[in-house]
Amino acid sequence: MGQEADRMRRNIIRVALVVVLVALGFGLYVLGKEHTIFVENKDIVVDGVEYKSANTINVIVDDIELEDVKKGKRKVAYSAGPWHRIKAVEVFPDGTTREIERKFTLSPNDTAVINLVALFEVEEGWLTIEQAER
Amino acid sequence: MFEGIANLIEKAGWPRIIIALFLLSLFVIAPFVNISIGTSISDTLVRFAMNSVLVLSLVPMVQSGCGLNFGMQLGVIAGLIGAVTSIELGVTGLAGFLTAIGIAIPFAAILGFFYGLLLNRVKGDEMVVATYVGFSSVAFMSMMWLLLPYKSPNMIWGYGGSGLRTTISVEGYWLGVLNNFLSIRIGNFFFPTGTILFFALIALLVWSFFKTKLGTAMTAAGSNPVYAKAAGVNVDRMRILSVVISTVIAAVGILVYEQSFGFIQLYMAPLLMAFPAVAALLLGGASVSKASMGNVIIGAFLFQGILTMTPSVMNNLIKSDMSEVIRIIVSNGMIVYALTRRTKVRK
Amino acid sequence: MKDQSLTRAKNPLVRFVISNAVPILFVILLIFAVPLSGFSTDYLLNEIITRLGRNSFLVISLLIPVMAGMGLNFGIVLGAMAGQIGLIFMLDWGVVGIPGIVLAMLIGTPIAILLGMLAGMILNRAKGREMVTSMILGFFINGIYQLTILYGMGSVIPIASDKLLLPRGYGVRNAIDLISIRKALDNMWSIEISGVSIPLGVFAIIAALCIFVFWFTRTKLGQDMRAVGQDMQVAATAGINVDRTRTLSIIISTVLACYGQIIFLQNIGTINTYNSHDQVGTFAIAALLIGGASVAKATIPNVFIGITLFHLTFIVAPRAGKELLGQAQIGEFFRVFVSYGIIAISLALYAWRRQVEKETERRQAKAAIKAAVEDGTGG
Repeated sequence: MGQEADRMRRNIIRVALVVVLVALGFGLYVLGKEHTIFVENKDIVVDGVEYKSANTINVIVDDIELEDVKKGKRKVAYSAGPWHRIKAVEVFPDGTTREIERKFTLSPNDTAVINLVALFEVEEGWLTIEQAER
Repeated sequence: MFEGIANLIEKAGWPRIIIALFLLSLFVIAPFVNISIGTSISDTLVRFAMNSVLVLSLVPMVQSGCGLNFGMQLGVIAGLIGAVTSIELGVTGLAGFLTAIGIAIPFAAILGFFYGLLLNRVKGDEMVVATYVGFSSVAFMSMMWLLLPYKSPNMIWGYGGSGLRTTISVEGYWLGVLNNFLSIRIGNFFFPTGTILFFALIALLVWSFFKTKLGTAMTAAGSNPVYAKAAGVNVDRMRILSVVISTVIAAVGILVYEQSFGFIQLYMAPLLMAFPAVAALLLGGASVSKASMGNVIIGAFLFQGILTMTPSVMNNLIKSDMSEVIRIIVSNGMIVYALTRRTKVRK
Repeated sequence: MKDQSLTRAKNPLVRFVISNAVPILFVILLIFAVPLSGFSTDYLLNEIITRLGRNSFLVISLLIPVMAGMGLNFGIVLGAMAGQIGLIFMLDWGVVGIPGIVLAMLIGTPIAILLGMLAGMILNRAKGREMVTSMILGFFINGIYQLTILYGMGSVIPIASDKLLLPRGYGVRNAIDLISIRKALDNMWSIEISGVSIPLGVFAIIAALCIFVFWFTRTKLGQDMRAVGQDMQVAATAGINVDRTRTLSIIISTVLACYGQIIFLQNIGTINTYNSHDQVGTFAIAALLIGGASVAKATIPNVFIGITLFHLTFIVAPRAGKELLGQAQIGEFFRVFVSYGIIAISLALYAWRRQVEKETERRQAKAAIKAAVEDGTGG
């Protein structure tokens, strides 16, 4: 009677607690998973149009300063969580610059490859996501 | 028939049976992985012999109610002092060994006496106090080994250092002095007759001691102190006596070990020495309050058997050395098991 | 257990000195040793603050079993192992920073609870011998832990990260670096006062734990534990499930030790997979005892005073030994001697007192019976 209801209630609370903790675990996993983010300053073809890499580009991913990525080179940044921001500054031979800032989202098991050239030129296609290789 | 077996299992206890079967299976597997039974058995025998006296040393204290002697290190230290001094004096061979014993015994007796006094003040908690007294004494002696004025070049650090080395070889002094006495060698098989005889001698002494009036009084003091006191036994004195005897035997025990092992190990090496000995005794069927010669022999044999066979067989079987881990699990598991058995008559 | 003792002296100063004999002894020792060692005050201050941050959680985890009459829980090493397993999975899954730490704690918790339950069960079967049993149980579970880590991980238990595994493909490496979470808690919030950096984040967590412990002693469960600690039989007649309460105290202690070890390791920055947890029990207990606690009574001030004194001795001993006797090694052995010796002395004193109490009780009971009999025959 009263006892059974009590036991029921206690079990429900226990199950609920476990569910909350597992959900918390998931949340932590997504929030804290470190991603490998490659940035490369290389030629790329997007939708049939070829973009050539020309100048050195200074890159900041989240709060990691990757500094200068020279033409044809690739650098890597490690950053945790789902939401990221990349800011790139292209330095022209005459000293002028242009910069661009974009945001992107990653799922826990993603590895990102960002083409810096395309970053400036196109809306989509500068970000390639690879499934995690372990 | 089944009842008989069930009785045996209950009396022997599951852990013991499991371990005995485990050892048996190791022996069975051995030939299939290219391990010679002859070598295995003689290795086990040698290790049994060299550890036997140390395990034996635990018996008096168990019988008198002082529990498992986790402070065996005190006796070991006395033995080490004897060994090192004997080498300092330069005596070799059997004479050197006996000198070591001769020096060790008075130290052991004195240490044992004070240790016994301490244990009498902490009745009921002997084991945990003993453990930490044992640990701190090893640490204390570690400081002493650095400072004591030993000079023999075989023992001190080279290049003008001071203080004793960590490991000192007894080769050229009394290595194998007991092992090789009247030993039997048939091909791969080696029987360390001398050591076994020596152990048998001491075991006989202990066994007959317990048959004497004094020995019976000691056992009474352990199994039922209130009754013993009423019967006129000075319980406290029995306990101190048992501690002194245990410590002295432990001092002799470490010397027996060293003559077989070949090295004197100083500094922190003796720190955990009590545990394998205790585990072996328990493995042989002893409890926290009762131990017999049979327990010593069976236990030491089983324990050393596992220690010898596991590395060789396991290594060839799964190409990996599990022996250390197995040793930890088996020895400590046995002790936990023994500690959780309900004792019948206590306090 | 009541703490009746030699503190019956009338003079309050004498009483203070006797009941705080151990910390006072260490303060005197340090007054000589610190200048001898030649370390600067700044350096020592920094070190102590770091160590307080690093170790307090672990030492506090010892308090609850003492309250419940279980003595000093050498089994906190079980919690430490659970924490390390949590960290291994966290590393394998690539979760970093604060979320990583919390995740490691989350993973370690069920393991710690299970181990705590096991320990509680075993200790209940060894009533009167809890301390030895928890010590040996610690060794035993260490063996199982090593079996799991050395053989299970990478083979039966899925660990894929190459950084963690040994070259042979299974078994975890000896030393794993925790760069991904190193000082994550420390740096979360820290301030500098005249050259000394204080990790407020960690201290905030420790403060929260202290408040939790304080609050806990006032809950029904806490009061039950106190009652069980005072006298198991009286508690049983009062309707308290003694065994369950004792087990709960160990579970809580083990879980707290799990978190404590994670906090400890994130500060150090490396896990020695096979060794890091070895001395957890000994050092924490030695620190607590040096702080003036006993087997029957341990309070929060004991924790902080103890850690300070213990670690000061630890840092200062080798150099002081070198100045005094010409060999730094002596100092190192000295501090090992101190750790073990302090536990030996405290345990011996406590056991001695308990024996004296029992004998006094017995004598009083006999006298009471005698008097009653005489009364009966006389009246």
